[in-house]
Amino acid sequence: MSTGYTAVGWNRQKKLYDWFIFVFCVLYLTAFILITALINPDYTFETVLIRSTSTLAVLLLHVILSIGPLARMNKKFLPLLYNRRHLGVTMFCMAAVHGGFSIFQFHGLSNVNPFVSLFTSNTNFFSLNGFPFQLLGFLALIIFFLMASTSHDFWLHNLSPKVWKTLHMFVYLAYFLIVMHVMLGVIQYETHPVFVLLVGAGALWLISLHLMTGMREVKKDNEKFNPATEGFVKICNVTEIEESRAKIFCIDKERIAVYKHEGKLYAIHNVCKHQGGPLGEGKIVDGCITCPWHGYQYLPHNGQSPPPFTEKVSTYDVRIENAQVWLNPMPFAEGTERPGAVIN
Amino acid sequence: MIKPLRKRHLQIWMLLAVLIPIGIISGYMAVPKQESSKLLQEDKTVALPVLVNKVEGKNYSVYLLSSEDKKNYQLQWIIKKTSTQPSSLVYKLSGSEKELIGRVGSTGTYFFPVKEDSTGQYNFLVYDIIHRQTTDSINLKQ
Repeated sequence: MSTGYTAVGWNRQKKLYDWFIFVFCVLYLTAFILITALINPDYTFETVLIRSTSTLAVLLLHVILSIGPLARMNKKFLPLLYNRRHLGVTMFCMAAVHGGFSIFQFHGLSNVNPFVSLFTSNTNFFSLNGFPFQLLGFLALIIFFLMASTSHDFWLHNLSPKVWKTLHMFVYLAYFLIVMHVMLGVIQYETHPVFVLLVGAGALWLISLHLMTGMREVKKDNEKFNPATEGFVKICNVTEIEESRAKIFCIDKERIAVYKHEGKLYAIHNVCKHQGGPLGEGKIVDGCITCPWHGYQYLPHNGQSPPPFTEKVSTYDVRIENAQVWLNPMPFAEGTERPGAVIN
Repeated sequence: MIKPLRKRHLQIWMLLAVLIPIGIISGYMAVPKQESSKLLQEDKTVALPVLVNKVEGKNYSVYLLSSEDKKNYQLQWIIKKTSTQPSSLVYKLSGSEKELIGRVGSTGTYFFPVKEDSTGQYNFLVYDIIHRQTTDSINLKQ
């Protein structure tokens, strides 16, 4: 949280997760090299390294882009979200090996500076099959580099969440650049239809997943409530909220999480101060509302992180009448203590 | 996530849902439809029996071969060590004209059929397609 920074806040789960990523990458690269050696004994080491790291990076990119929507659809995927940054840095490392070796092999052995050669050796910008596809991959690599190098919370706090989030949304542009890098590059001479089908299937999977979850979120945001009475809006029955859990309601413009905790209901702003995680999809751990994304915590009655941490979110008034829950969507200042509504 | 951010995400994916299929289809349509045999050797090409001439380079050996009756000619190109050019095109020069006969890349043996040249002179040119420059020329006499 906010009191200091360490390179990685290691815990058992993160170590296990990173070991899994490491073993998977080693197995994938080994399998790729062995299969290539069997199928094509004339292969060169540089070529097989370029191809194995590129396919692994593309595979990891698909996994990374799937985690967000999958976690919104099913809470079982939340542990993947918790550690997504490690996967992102791994993906960048694989892409960097691919890019580095490609630049060395295709541009590094002439008397021209490799980066000058990258930008000047092919200028067929108006030809599809002769397009300088290497540039597309290079631009995507720069985006991945910026994302990997700013993935730490230090940068999140110093750049501000808005700038940081905007920068990291460039991953979608990078994904498009990668699709075109593949289509205008390797697909132009490895013409077996299975390669096009793989690229298409990956894109179809991601587009469907993101559109489906995006539409679901829009539906939630547009849920209608009865007009307010004395500022309060009837939202649900008290039994609809589980103990130590919340229900999320979008009234007016923002989402509010209504938590049930030790015989009372409390309402706080649904957006975590860390990376905008949905606080209402978390649960109460050790008396604190715990964000499902990265574990940031807030006290239910005042929306403040427990000392020594300093994050605060807005709080709201809740009341209960005849087992019906009423919520006032007018926020109090961040960290304002509210008594909560007693459940009879 | 706040509401504007959720909206932005959805808008981006709606845009990608249009752009990516266009990109994939355009890329696939742009794949050259030329016959692969023009550029790649057949798997089971057999060397012709008569050695007409040869050149031994540092990283490669080039043999001009012919049939017993001297009606068919063939170029055998053996790459002993991978060159700094990952993929090069081989052209046969005839006067001021040049004819593409194939592509050489990683270590291995490549065979290319060659038309008989009435001058008895077989000149070849190696062109690096990545750096767009001629890297070697080979001259063989009958």
